[in-house]
Amino acid sequence: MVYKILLVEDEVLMAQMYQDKLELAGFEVSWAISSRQALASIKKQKPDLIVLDILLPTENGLFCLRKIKNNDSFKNIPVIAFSNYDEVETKKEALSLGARVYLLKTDFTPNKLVKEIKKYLKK
Amino acid sequence: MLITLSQLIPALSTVFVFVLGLVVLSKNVRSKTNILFSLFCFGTTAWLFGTFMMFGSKVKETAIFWDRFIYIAGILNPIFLYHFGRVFVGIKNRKWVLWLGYGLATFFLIISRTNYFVANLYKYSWGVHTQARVFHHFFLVYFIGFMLLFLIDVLRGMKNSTGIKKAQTKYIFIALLVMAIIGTPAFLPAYGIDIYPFAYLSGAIFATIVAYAITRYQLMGIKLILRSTTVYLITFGVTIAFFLSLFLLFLRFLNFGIPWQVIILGVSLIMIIVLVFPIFLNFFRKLANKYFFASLYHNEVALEELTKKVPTIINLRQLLNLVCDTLKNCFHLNRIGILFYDPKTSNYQALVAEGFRPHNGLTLVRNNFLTQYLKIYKTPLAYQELDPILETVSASNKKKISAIKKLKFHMKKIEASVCCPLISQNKLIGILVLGPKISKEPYFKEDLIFLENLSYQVSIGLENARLYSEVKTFSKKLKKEVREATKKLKKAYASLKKLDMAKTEFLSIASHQLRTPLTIVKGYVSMLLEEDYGEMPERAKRPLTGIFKSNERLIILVNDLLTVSKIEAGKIEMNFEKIDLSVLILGLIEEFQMEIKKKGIYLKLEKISSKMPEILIDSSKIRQTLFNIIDNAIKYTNQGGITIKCAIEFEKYKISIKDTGEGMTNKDAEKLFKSFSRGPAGIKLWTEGAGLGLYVAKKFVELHGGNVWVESDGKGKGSTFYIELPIKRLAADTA
Repeated sequence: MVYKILLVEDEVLMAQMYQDKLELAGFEVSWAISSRQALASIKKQKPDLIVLDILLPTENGLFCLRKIKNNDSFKNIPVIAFSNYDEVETKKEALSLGARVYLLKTDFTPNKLVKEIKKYLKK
Repeated sequence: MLITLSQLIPALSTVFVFVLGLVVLSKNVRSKTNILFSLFCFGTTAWLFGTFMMFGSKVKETAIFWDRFIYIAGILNPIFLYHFGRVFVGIKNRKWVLWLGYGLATFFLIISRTNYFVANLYKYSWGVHTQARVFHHFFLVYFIGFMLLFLIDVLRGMKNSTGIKKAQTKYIFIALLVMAIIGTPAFLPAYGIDIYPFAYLSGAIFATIVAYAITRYQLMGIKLILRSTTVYLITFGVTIAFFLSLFLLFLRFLNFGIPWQVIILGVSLIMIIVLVFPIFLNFFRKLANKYFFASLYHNEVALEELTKKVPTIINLRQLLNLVCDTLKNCFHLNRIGILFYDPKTSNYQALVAEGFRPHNGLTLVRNNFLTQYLKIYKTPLAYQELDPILETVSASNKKKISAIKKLKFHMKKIEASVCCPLISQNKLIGILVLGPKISKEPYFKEDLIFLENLSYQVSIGLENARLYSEVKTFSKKLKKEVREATKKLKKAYASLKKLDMAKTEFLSIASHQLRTPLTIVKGYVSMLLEEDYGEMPERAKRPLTGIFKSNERLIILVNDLLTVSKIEAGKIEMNFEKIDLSVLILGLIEEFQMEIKKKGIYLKLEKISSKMPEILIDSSKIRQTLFNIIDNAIKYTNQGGITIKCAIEFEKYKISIKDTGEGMTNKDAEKLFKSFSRGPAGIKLWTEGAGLGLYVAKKFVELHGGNVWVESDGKGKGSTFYIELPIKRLAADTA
């Protein structure tokens, strides 16, 4: 089974890097650079997992997360909050909104991220 | 021997007038006014005494002797009186009249010893009198002439004077006019004219009027106090005199010369005296109250009441009202002022100014001669005292005269009859200004003493009220300032809070922005090394690994710098969760496997016999703490390895990380956990690292309420790092 991963990341280089790795790992990757684009993409093609950046242009990742979890059709999609924004309050809020985990980007190589994704897909 | 009425009256009058003369003279022996008036009184005394003796004489020659004696007084009195009148009203011209008078008096004194003046004795219905001869007519002209001159001078003086002086002059005029009218007909028997000797009443009437003027208007500068006892004595005396006179009248006109009738009459009179005495007493009391009531007012009672009330009043207006009411009741005034010193303007501002003319200057009294005087002498000053003082000052003492005139000027300007200083702590804090009494009475010595005593209480009260007022004003001002300061503080706090939030955001954004490129480098290099982009030549792997490692160091450095910034700013947030520490440690050991394999050293967790409890910690921070310490241990260990132990000791979770590395001295150990600090080995072996790792580790442990330290047996003997984390406190803190 080919899992569909939605990557929500506004930093282009970073997004390309993760997309490359995830595709090499056998995932089908779609990429959104903003919350609105992400929500549109989810409606179009429901992903199996979302890797969500927090600091996004216009509406931030928490806004997107809230929208996802408030939608009955999408609320069960596992979301990994993935950001270099290291604030406890933001972390708490993301987890309380339904993110499975909040990961700091600098702690993870793309390979490590793939392992994390596989962990949550199994769950 | 029975005494007739025509003897009794002169006898009593003799005493009265003589005492009057003595009192006036004793008041001021240097005053011309007093001396001349006293001489007149003594002359009148001689006249009255001579009359008493003459009417009592049984022998003709004795009667003639005493009549001639009377004429000595009769000759001298007119010139004494005229001279007194001139001095009293202040006439300085026509001195030749005075000399003429004394000349004529001398002439008549001589001639009165002869029969060309009076001779023989004329007996008439009511008594005896010598007969007038030729020079007696001239004497009468002299007598009446100088009496008239006196009366004219005094009348003129009365018209030209004001205030108390006018009143005094008026009563002198009335007394002498009555005396002249009643007394002059005393000479008629000398011409064979029968007339009842009511002339001898003139002495008593004259003395009564003068005594009244003295009591009421301080005539001759005499201040007599009409106390209750005086009223009582006067009442008693008058009563006795009245009934004694009645008694004698009965004796004379009804021929009651029989002892048993006298006894019955005497007893009856005594009973009547007892009955009517209270009526007389009441009458004189009312009279005294009407004209002299201030003297009868119990000043001690007023003072006592004021002393009781003053300490209870702190409101200035209430206190001023109390003082005004007390003074009005005591002295019956319609003019009263209370001045208070204003330190800002150095002037005396009127807090009370009742009954004064507007623009008389009372509302604002500047520091002047009067205030200086009151400040120095600290006693009440009465306007009426200034003229008598001025009279006694020698004309050569111009300084004193000038000073007294200045005082008069200032007091007159502000319409003050009395100025009483209010002293507190040796300073003149205010002035009580009293106008004249409504009764026109002068201010007696007792009044001034009372005022002085009252002023002490008033000073205390005013000072307290002023202080209370100041405290109240200060309190209001303080409240206002506190409110404003609080407003400012609130504003400042709001600004600081904003700044604080901005700082926090900056740190967060800065950390994010710094980490982004590091993440990209880390990601791409790891992918290149993992050959995700195709086979990587071996030659390229080493530099790529170098890039990766350097990048990792940079990531750690950035993390540490940001952490230290947060710690310094107090912005570290704790996220407590229950953790099995052994799992966390094992995870870290797994992370360091590659490194320890390279170095050929071991890193192990010593097996724990019993299951370790979970503890509430911020796992990321403790993880970082352990990471930094283990990383540090690996760097300084080249052989052997690192052993990690966990234990529970005294309700604390104790982790030890023991290495077989470089070791250190105690001195080095103390400096180890400070920021940017590295041991000497660090400088020698490892130039990398900013020296923040252990500082951050220590701070993180302290945030948990724990402790971290290092022990070493010395250089080359390895080190053991200890971390203590309280279990119970954590549980309670995060509950």
